Amino acid sequence: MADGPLIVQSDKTLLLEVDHPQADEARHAIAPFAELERAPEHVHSYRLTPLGLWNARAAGLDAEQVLDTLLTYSRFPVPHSLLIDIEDTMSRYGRLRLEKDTQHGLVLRTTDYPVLEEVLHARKIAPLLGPRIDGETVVVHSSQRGQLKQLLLKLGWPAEDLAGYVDGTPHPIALTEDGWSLRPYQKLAADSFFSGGSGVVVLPCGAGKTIVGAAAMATSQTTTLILVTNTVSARQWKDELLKRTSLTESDIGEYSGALKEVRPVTIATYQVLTTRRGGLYPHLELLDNNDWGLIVYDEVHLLPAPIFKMTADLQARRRLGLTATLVREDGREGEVFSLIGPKRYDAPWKDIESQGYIAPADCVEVRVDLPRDERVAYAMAEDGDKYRLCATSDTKSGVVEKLAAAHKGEQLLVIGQYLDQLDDLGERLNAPVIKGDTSVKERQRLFAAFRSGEISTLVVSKVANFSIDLPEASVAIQVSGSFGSRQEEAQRLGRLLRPKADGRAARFYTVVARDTLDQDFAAKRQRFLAEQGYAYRILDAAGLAG
Amino acid sequence: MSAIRALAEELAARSDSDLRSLLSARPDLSLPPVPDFAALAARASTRASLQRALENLTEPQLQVLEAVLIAAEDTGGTGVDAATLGALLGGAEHPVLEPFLAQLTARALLQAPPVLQDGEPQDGEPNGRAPAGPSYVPVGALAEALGPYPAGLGRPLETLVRVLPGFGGQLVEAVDRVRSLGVALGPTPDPEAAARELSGAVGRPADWKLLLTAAPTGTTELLERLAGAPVGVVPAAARAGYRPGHAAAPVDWLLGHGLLAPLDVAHVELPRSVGRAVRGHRVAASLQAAPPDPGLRPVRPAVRDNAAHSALAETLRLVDALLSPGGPTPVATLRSGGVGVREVKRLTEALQVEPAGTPWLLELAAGAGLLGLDVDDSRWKPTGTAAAAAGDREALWLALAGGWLDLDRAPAMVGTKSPDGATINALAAEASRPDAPRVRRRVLDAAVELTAEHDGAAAAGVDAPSLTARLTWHQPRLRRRFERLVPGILAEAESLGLFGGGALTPIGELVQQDRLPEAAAAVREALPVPVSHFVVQADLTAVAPGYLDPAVARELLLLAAPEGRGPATTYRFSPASLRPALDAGQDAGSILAFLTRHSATELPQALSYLVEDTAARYGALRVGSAGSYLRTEDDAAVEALLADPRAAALGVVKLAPTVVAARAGADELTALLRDLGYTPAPEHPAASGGAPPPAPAPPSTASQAPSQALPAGPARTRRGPWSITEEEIAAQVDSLRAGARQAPDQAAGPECETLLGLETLRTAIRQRSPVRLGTADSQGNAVRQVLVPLSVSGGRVRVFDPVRQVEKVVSVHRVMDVEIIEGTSDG
Repeated sequence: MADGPLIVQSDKTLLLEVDHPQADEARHAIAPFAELERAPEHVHSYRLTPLGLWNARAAGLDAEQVLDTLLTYSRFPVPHSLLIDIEDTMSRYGRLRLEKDTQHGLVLRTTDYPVLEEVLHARKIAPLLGPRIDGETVVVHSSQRGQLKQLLLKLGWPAEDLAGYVDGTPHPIALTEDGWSLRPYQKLAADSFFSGGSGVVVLPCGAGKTIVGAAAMATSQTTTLILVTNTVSARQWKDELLKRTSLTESDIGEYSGALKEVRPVTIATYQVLTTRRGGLYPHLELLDNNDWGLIVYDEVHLLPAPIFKMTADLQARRRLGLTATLVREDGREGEVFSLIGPKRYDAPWKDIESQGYIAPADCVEVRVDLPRDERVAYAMAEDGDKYRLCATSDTKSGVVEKLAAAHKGEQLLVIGQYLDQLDDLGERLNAPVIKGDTSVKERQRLFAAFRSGEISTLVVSKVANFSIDLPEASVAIQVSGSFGSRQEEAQRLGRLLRPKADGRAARFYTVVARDTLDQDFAAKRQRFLAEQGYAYRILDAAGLAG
Repeated sequence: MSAIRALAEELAARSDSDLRSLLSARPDLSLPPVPDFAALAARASTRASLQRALENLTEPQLQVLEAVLIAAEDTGGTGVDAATLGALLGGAEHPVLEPFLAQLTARALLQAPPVLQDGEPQDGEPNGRAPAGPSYVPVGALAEALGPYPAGLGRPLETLVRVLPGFGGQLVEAVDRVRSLGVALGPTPDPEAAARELSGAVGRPADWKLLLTAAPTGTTELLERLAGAPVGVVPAAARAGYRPGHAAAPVDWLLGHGLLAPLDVAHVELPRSVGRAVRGHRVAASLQAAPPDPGLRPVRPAVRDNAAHSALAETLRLVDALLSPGGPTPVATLRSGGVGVREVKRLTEALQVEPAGTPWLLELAAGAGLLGLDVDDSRWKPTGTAAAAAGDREALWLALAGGWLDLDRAPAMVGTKSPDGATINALAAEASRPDAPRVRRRVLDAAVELTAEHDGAAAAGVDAPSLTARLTWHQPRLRRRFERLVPGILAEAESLGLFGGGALTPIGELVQQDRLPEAAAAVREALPVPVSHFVVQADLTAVAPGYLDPAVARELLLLAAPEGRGPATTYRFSPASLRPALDAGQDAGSILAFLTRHSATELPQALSYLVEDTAARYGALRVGSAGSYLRTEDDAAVEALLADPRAAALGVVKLAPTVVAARAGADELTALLRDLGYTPAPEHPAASGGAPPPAPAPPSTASQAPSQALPAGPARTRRGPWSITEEEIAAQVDSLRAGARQAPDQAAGPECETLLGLETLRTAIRQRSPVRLGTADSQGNAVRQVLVPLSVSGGRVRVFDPVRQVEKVVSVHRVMDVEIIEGTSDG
């Protein structure tokens, strides 16, 4: 253990020194069981969590291998209690298995009698179970498969689901690889998912998650339901599927607020599924009345709570989750694990960047000084108005103009929260503004124009946060945001990270008012971006060339 | 003749070397020195000394001793030979028993050859066997020292009949029932005879078998449960009572046949004879001549070292964090003593440890003298020792390990409930265990012993059960103590690196051999080399990839807040974290220079920006303290004042061209200005006449060394209060011999008089003979009465007054003399 690249901390974090000669080797060795938490430029930190360890068990790793990896790469002695804890935690996965019994249907089987006893005596679990067959086996009501898995995870005895899936209605789907081909990691991701049954594929923004979905559909060869965050995203899925697969216009249906088509491949939004009328979900039948062979969840980390509930009843169907991060702001990672499935593939983000599939980004924070009268107004404002006041300062508009001028000729995106400010910027920059009330048609037109280079500057509100594709946006300027949410930041950056034709670095400006709440949020953003490994600089607005 | 006199004679007859071995085996006999053999014998027969001697007996020694005691009671106090003993101990052969008997005799716990008392009629041997070889008798108060349940057997039926009211009558009835089962019994006119006859029947295998066949099912299992621990809980409510002719539960059947004695409403006792019968008409199934096989699991040396090294590095890191100047000390104590739960919680959060770890760290640091109680404000503060060891991990470990070995407390008891139901606090008196250092030492010895026996390339995993089993074989009387203390001691030793992954480490072996400095050197080898650089990143953190050099760490702590725990520390920079450095007079230049010097990588722009931005905005407002000030429109006056040499003494500083502040008060400044020819006007009318505002108190010197509240080590160390040197033994033997020459046959001295009296009383109790008891009443008058003593215990004698037909209790210290009344005893 003389000089490994890894430092194992007693608080269950792993520090990986990336400049160490063995760093790559160690990174690949620990990736299956440790969650990357922070990836600044020199020392990455990973966290060991029960979910991460169970993910590793689901991927076929045992505790022995995990301990061996830690001891091999660790620079210092590894805390013994941590090793014991890992062994304990990992041994909990798979002691209970959900299986298909030829005689009794779905059963819960154990290799460890006391565990089953404990589970049977849990008050919430007992009603989900049927009669006991023998000491090690108990019948499970097949409708309760998902809920049972959820509760077992809460008890700390995650069940391994080996009960298999219904086949679904067959439907021929093939990839049409003309002029493009599946990247190696995309193929690996789709294969790992399929051999694992159900689960989540984690890929950074811009790494081509849609194509992984298409590849999974091509393997499945069945009717497929795709759940996405919003309508724009649904259209993009449709375009992408038409381009990448043998599916035709008539095979793909859209199920959203505007359209209600059910076709062999149906793309539905979360919103329409979670619409309630009179306490009921009127569109639930979309899930229940069709024999889907595969269900794809886009942006799993945004999955709304009711969808989890519906997913609990869909345990007999193959489920694929796609996401850039397993971290959920609401901490419901456990439900993703138990209901959609364990992590099946996770590409270290840096690897994909280094292979040239996503663009490097350069983050710059520009600090502006508020003029005296605005400072006084800010100081005297009510707490609730303070952020708006500092975020929409007029001085920012001037800075945005300067920056836009500096990047003349590049595809530029201005992102903001407050509509007045965006309208004002649109006028100053002479650029169209896309906001909530812009019609879908108009949005698509503007995006298409932007993509083709017809328009070089676009001002967008937060409607653009999710799942739109702006391939050539190489510069973004953020003037205000919703209070420094990590999700939002990742999404916005994602807009820029799609690979550029000429391999240039994307530039991401944030304009921040000094000494205000804006700066506090910026500090959080800075930490987040730096932890994601982006280069981060701070400039004074006064120092901008002008 | 008295047993004590007999023992005195036997001791006097021993060779010098035998005496020496006795005194070294039982050092308390000559601490303090005794004048003569009579006193030596008397002291050897005291309950306290016997108990101390019993504590040091091994399992087989104790088994043999207990068997002798039980067999001697069978024979009414005469000797027991090896053959009889062998039969009682699962057929142990004479050569096996011989050494144990010799050891017990050498320790003056057994006497041999038997001292037959004058004219005592020899009853026939109970088994009709002739004595073979020497026979042994236990010394005086041994029965009392061993307690009422020697070898885990209950009291004899004969005793139970005497002490349990009402049991005698029940027994007579019960014996009749036994007789009706076909067991041949003699006449049983009274309870005593019934007890004797029933004991005899139970002791005969054929009759015992007959009894068992008549018993309801489940009886054997119940008996076996009670054979190990003779007193059982059977609530009276669960006893239906025995009615002949009806099916009875085992308990009722046993009670109804006198094979179980009801103690009170909740308990029953298995009489000794029945217990022996259940054990196969033996006292023990076999003699545990060798320690039990521990069945150790192997531990890979790599795993052992990994565990030990990480644990000790963590302990050192945490102790260092606890004692560091910016750390969470001082620690407040509760009025009732110890550190309260809330304070422990505060420390736990400050140190980021597992909650259970904090009390241990406090106990460890205090035991090593690194934390001392400041008696003035009842708070624990780092001592001078802590300051000396700061930054030197080897010295720190040495202090901790040494302190732990001598710590007369059981830190593991903190957090548990004391007998009165209160939770024991850290550093509270309730966790004091004066025997802890000795137990700790024994644990290490036993671990070395077990490790040495374990063969194979892997180290031996010596867990708490295997250690406790081994320790208990060595000192069975201390079993409870070991069971209570060993798990905690093992965990403590693990955190100091003496054990790792459950196996004794080389460091632990060195500690066991008292080679602490060498062990500390091994610790230094095991600890990673300190690093003097860190890695600075754009997320405004610096990561020290290992143990950061204390000098660098101190400086870095002024700039950034540490987070995370483990071998590496992450330091996070923020405007707030930079303030201490700026307060200490650093500026952006010096901070960046320090960071550049120690950073292994280029400083990220974001951090330089933060440092420069924070430093530039630091001090926009400035605060200081002054005793007085001067403001004027005339800057010439200011210059004149500053030019005067007296101004320096008053601490005059120019704040602005026309503003001056002085440390001295307004009066002094006014006087100086008047001397210079000015006419200063007081700014506030109050300022001129009254006393100057109080000068700011000098910053309290937080580093004042608190008084060392820890007592100096006692002369006899806590690890061995009963250690005795060769010289002391030799001096004692010499003085005994000299005393013996002067007064060859005098048993004198107060020490042995009381014991002689007690011994007489015990004899009388055994023989149930009346005594003439001389006592002093509460007015100091001597009273002489003829009484029948019933029992002696706890400093009290229970007696029966035959004249008044009442029982009463007499304190032993009021007894002046005891005389057994002639004709009823052989005195």
